[in-house]
Amino acid sequence: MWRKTASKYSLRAIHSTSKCLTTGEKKVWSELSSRSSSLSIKNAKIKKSLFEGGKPETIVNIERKAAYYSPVDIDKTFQLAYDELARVSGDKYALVDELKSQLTSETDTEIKAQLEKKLNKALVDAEIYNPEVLYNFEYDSELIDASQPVYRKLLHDKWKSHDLMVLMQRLEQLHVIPDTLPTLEPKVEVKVKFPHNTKSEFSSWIVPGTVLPAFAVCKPPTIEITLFDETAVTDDSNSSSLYTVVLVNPDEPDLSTNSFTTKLHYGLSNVPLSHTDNQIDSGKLLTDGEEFTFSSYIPILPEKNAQIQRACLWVFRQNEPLTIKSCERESFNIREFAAIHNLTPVGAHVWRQTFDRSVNAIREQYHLPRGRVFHRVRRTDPYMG
Amino acid sequence: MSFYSSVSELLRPVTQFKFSSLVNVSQVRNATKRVSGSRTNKNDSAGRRLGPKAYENTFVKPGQIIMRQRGTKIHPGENVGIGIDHTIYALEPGYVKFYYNPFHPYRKYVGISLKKDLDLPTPHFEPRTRRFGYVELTGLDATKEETRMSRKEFLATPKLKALQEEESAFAHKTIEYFKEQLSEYKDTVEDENMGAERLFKIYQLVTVGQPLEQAQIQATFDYLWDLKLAHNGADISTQREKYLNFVEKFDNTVSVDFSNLQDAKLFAYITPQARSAKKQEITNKLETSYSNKVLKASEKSEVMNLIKSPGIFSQKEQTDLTDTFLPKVLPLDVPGSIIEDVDTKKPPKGVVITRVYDAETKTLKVVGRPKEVYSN
Amino acid sequence: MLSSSIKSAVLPVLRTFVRFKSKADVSPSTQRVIGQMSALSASKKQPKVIRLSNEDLIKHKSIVNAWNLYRRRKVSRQRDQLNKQYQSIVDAMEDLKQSEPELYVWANTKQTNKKFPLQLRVPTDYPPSQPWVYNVKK
Repeated sequence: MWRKTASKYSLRAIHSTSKCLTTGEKKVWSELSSRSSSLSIKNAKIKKSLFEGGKPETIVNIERKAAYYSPVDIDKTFQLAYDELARVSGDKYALVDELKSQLTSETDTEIKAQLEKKLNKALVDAEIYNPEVLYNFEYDSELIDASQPVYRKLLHDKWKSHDLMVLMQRLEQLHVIPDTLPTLEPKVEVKVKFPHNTKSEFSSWIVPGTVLPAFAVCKPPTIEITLFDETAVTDDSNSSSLYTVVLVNPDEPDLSTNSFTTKLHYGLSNVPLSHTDNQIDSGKLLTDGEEFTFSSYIPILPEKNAQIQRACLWVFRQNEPLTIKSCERESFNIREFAAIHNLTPVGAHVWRQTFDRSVNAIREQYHLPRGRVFHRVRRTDPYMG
Repeated sequence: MSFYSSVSELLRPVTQFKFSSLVNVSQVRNATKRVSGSRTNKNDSAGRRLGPKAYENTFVKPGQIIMRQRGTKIHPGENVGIGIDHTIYALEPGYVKFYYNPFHPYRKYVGISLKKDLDLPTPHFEPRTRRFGYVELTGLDATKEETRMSRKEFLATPKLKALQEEESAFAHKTIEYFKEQLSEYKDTVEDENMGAERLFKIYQLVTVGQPLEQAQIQATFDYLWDLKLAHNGADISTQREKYLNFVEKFDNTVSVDFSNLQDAKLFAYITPQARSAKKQEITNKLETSYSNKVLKASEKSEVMNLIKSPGIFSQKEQTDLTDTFLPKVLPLDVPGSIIEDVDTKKPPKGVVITRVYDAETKTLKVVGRPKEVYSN
Repeated sequence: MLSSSIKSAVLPVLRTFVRFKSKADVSPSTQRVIGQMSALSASKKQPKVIRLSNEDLIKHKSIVNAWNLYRRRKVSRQRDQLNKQYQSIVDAMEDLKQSEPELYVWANTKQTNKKFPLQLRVPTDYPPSQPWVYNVKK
């Protein structure tokens, strides 16, 4: 099927358009002095097989490589397509240069912001069709450099196509919205994992809504916050790059009202994040943990028959540096907290926990009293709040 | 004969009818209403006693019926359920509220409000009011309930126990093995136990996919976290300092090749720069002296040793290199890997007869290939 | 003698009534089950995965990108031209309105009862490749 289509559209249509246009054009994507090295393929062999054809270098196994045949005329057609795409990109780079020169001469902040937005879009447009960028994004995750607008755009699109939808579904169906905060306009991708785990099923990134055992969450998580929008500038002096992270459990039983209270389990503030440095991991906690933490990590340890409980992790963008001395863990009001400190929620994550056999040991480890035990049948006593 | 008599025969019925007294009282009856009714008119049933069974602001208990209806005259709202015949019943104890929902403006709803003065529907962005409903157990009941297992858990317990024992045995064995090997580095590593445990933790983290540097940081973090918990808020800065010093010295002294732990050996630490240089060196050596030729058994083991040099290549890099330099079958274009003129009936020793595809003539050819072409 | 002649006359006729020559080794009932199962199988309903190497997939994507760019440009060029045509019509009408208001009114009056002549060629964007057929035959 491919063979037919290839010979049908490629050689006639693309050739006819690009023939007159490509002659004498300099190739913007092969020039590396002004562009980041992350925009080209690192492995020289793979780069060669992409541009010059032959057996693909990505197939390592010799027998499979020998048995593989590329579609007819794909290299020829690709070269035509590449020339055409590079020509379009050249126009975009001309626009980039123009916008840059405008930016240096401009003084008005509002116009400057607009120009920066335009510049960012032009930078994305100039590289979005670059086959090397596409290759790196698909197959070489090490080279994904979030400081480049094009990779940010690709990451953003990928996030929106699946992970964001999963997250919003879980937040709504598990009533994280509106039980903790009224709603969320997601701006950043929040990924959570517990890196102390030595079992493969618990060591990778957590899918929102997963039920986790207590031993899998007994040490502080690694939180990755991927920033997509341009407001998150990289220099530390700008306060918009400071973030607050709060982990709450809205399902702590409250017997006096026969209802629930919210308990604070983890609080970080004034965490500087940028496009490239976007993880709150063990290394960061080792060096600057004391400085960030206003409420140290205590795992959620549900009591027997207290049903399934939600661990709601909220990420806020700060409008100014905060000085939170300490925070009352019990009956924590997250809405009030966000309002007092002028915080904007930008991302969230949720996982769930229930009583299991590892809870008691971890309670002892954390010097917590033994958990209460509830009757397994739910009674009809009315709400007392 | 008169005219009358001639036509009277024809007229008689008319004259007879004209004088009939019955004709005058008869009526035109279009719809029939029979006195005794009909067979189909007796099917009226008793009333079904439909309608609301609890009214606005009445207190109801869970399971109590609020509304009986045909179809959903009223829709189920908050804290109520709906039955197969659209009966609406309470799910929580509270006060009945009839209301309209702004998301479905043409429907009537009934719901239960947990408090009398709380109106329904709950505002869209407000937190829900929820009832816990479980009572606390104390004393013997509590211990009994806590140790109570579900059938699934009960059945899985022996298996889980066995697994746990196996794991701890493996951990013990590996730590002992590391300790044994660490004795070689006695002069630099003071605490063998601590070192062996650290190595085992790093090994576990590496096996679930963490890079070595990250695993080392994580192992340090976990140790210090446990230390902090064990001291319950007391000052641990001296111990912390001590451990960090130990880690710095230890990590710069020894390392383990975690890619093949079965015959793992501790080796002196190499810096990342030195490691990548060594990588380059080995790859170059493999390419210059071991590629594109038929390798003897001794050469093959040399290649294998080079690939498995401790601490140089990751597991994936090792498999890739093995695929490249020690493939299962050497490609046909390697010089000396095909023997054309060979007696197919009686091949000489060390030659395997096989059929290969000749792309030029588009035919299958029978050729001999030396045994060394095949990896096993 | 007679029977053999009948046989030779009838057999080819009979053969024509065999609608399908059975090619499969399996029995028809098994074949039917296989057919049903393959029709039900989820893989049949999925679009076929193009089994290409990573490089070739990127090449394929780039070719598609270039092709889409080309088509987009073509469509926008056509749209621009149509806009220009429309604008020139509007300009001409404005001109007419200024210079000859009576003619303008006459040009804009709707002609009722006048049907579109069926013989007229349907108007198209471009002239036909053969503008006039000289040897028309009816």
